Amino acid sequence: MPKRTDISSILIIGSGPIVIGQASEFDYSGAQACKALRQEGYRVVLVNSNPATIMTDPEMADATYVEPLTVEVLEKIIARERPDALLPTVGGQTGLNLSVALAEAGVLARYGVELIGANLRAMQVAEDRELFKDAMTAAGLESPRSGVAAYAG
Amino acid sequence: MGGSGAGTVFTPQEFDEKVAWGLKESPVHTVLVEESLIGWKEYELEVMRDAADNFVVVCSIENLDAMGVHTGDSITVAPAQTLTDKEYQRLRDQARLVMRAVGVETGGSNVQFAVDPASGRVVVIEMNPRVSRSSALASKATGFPIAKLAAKIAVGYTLDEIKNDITRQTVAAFEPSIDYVVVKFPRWAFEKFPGVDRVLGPQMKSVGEAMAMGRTFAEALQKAVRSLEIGRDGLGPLERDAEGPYKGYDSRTTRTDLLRVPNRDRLFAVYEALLEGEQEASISQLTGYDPWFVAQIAQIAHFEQALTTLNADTLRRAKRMGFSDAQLARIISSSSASQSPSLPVSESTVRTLRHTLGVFPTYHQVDTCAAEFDAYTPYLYSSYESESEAAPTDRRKIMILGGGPNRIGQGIEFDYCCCHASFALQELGYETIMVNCNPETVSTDYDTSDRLYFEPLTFEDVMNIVEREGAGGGLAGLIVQYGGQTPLNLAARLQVAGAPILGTSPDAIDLAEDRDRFGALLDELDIPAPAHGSARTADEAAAVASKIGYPVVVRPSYVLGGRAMAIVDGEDDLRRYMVEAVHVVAGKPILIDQFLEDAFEVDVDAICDGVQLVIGGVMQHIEEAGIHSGDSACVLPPWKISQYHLNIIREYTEKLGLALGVRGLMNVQYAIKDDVVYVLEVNPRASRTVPFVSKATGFPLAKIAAKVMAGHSLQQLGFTTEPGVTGFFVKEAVLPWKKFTGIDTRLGPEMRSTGEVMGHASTFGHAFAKSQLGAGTALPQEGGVLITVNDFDKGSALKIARDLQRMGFEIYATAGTGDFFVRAGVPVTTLEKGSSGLSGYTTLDAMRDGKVQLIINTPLGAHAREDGVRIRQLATRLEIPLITTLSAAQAAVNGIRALRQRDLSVRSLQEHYAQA
Repeated sequence: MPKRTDISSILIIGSGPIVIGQASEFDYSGAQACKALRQEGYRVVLVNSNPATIMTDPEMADATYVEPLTVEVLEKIIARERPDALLPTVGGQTGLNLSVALAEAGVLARYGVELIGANLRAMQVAEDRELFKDAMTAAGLESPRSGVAAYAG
Repeated sequence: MGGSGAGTVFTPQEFDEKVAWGLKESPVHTVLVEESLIGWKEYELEVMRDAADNFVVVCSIENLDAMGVHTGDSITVAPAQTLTDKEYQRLRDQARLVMRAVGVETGGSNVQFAVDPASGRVVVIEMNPRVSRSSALASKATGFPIAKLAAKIAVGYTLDEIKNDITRQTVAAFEPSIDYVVVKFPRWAFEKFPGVDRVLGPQMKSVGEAMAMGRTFAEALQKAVRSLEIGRDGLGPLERDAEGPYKGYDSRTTRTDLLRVPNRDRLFAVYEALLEGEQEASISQLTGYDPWFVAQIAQIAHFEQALTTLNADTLRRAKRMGFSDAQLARIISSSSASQSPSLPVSESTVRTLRHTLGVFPTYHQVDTCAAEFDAYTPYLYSSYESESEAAPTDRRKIMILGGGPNRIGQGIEFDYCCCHASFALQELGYETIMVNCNPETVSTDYDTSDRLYFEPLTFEDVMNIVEREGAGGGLAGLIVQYGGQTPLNLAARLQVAGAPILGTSPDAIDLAEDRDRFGALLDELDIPAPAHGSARTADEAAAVASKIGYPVVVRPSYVLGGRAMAIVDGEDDLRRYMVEAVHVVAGKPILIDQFLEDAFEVDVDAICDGVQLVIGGVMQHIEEAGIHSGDSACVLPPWKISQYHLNIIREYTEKLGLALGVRGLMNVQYAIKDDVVYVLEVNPRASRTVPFVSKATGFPLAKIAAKVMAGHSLQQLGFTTEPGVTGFFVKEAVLPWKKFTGIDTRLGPEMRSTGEVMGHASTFGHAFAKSQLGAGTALPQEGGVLITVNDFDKGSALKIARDLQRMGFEIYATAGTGDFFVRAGVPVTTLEKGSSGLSGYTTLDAMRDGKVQLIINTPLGAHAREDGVRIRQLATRLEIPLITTLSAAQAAVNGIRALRQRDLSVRSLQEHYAQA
């Protein structure tokens, strides 16, 4: 299948500051994704708050935003740059969570941004233990026996 | 992510406590209760799927530690070693089903499985429909670029359409096959967080990792151990304190405890137990390690025990099991049966013997295809086989030594610099050779440098590469100043062994670290420094400190990140410190400096070519002196430093760079107190702030400096004046308090941050507000502020309280601070101290009730008071922004005021540079 020509600019969300559990491996993955997409001729818009990354070098993307990673700030960037698509899978859990939040808050729909590389439903199923367990059971796979307790008081 | 808040419970009582806690702490007030699979074997499959339903398993990974330890804290092995083909095929089929069931149509995923070793029952634990830590590891382990392919299939390509960069013949739909073993070993930083529970569990605690490759599991495992830079030359027994107990554990801890309970030293406990003849079966049962792994480790132990002499045969066999020269020297020296006990055996003796006997390493390619096709990207690891692959070229080449595993104080900033060195030298036409062992990096991407050696950063391993690559005469030199302390620690030995070191000489780097030599240089240049001295014993230290006057700053020499750095107020504390510090760096002197209380601190990054020095950026720390520069926020350009002092700083920087003969990057730290500019330290190497300054100014300092190291002048490179900066750039540190609950979160001279963020804007207030938002602690625009400060800070805190109150904030304070504010006319709601034991409404109650949106709490002295500690701990739990210095509080007031005037706006770096 040839590459898509109906999209021309793609937003990538990085993983932010290095914390325990989310280190520079996402600089590696984000930088690779930026390079690959630009080689294919796409305009890449990158957001990451971490200045110590290779991916935020100004030559890695067409527009590089070293800005806080919050839904509000990302909405401002989307409003300015109007990307056609969002690649949510190369910025660690932070990038994925923000992508889900942007979709759930209606921001992606409002600006016509398509999720590519992973769909919203798959991200939700993978994140939600109950949905995940149901999906596994339906596929005939076993997952750890479990239940969710909620705070009543 | 990283398993925050997860825990394992063994009894109904523990269950009640933990669940009650979890329900309260969870942002959505729910808790997942799951059957424990402790003791089950844990596997991960890295898989990819495209729109045509092509499906590949990139790599299988097996955790040495059984279920119950977060995979980020486990030693892991690729490919999986203890699965039969049938079992593996079963996991493969299930992974495919999981992808379908979750609905991942295209992309890379990571699927985690638990397998009950008794029944064979397989359970799917979780899947991540994204690139993960494990997929980065799998990419490095196989040469299969998962992130790049994930991006390409996201835009419509199928795996069979994408060419494999390494073979140039195969396509990405070919599953990688590998003919070597990969071991990943985590690295922890518990020594920086006293009081943190060192037991490993479902919440990740490691801060970095090393990866090693070998032809056998034994070889890869031993190489991984020596890659960690934890003072080990390979496998060996547990470390003991002089008094007897295991180092880092209380005196009741037995080896059996260390085998049974997951901890960072478990592998060494296994090795020691095997050396002492414990049964493999019982070790396997205690640890949950698969018997195959225990048997492999036992072979290493048995070899060590039988080793009495080194000859061509034993050397070759030892090397194939991953023994290092230093390790062999240690074993032979301590072996009672050694045939020549009169001769002390050193690492260099072993090396010379190895050369005499012709036992040399061979180098092999990571080629995704087990050598079935030719490989075009020389990505190499060493072993001791009969033939090497990928012969060195005859091009002019420069080798760059990376920073090894991430740790606090030495992280991504140095990897950034190493990558830039490679890019810059490629621009000059050099072949670049990267040496590093950290899989979580861009530097170890196969297309960052012309050649990549995934090898431990030890003298032996680096020198082997120097000899190989230098044989043809084309090796112009090594860059050791970019990878943090790791390569610098090797520099002098490498130079003595004949390796050409580029840029600033190791001697000049040593001069800057050596208090006596550096002090003499400062005297000669007439540059003031805080009174200082150095000491090796407690008595010497006490004498030096009483001459200087307390408080003093104490720290070991030759460490990064303020390891074991402290401010001490009196002789008792100093003597206690000396006892502890001697453990940290045996044999190195302890530096003692006068502490400049309440001074402003300034960082400067500059490049010098030996003739000219150009400043890259001058940064003012937001926190005052006494907080480690890596934990302090800083602002570029300086916010509150007079032009007069800036000019002095520029003049001193130039004098120092030229006098030291710096060729490349240099970082200088200054303190300004009572109108005097003092030099705190000079580091003639890449610093942590280089990427920040480069992003703020638009000038790639690390690249320019690398070209200077290769012989270009600043004049030739066109970098001759200090870049101007439009607007303000604030860097803020990010601290791991949420992961390490229950410890005091006050900042100090020992660095504890893991990462950083940047905020930029046209005003300081907005830039600071962005930096706080980026660091996860958004400044409030309304609500309540709790202010509890020490007596010295009350006067300055008053202005802050008044400003906040005028902006409409409700001010809360404890009696001491509150009375002072009320007398000065600032209305305050007074609260009881959290530790007062009285029945009134306390600071902690107000925090829990959501009345406090910001806390300003300045601790006093070395001994934190209990109520302050409790406020800080609760603030972390409730995620209330907490500020522990008045200078940062002042900056926060600026930020809040700016936010109330105008909302944040965003601008890309490219637009910024175009308009600046």
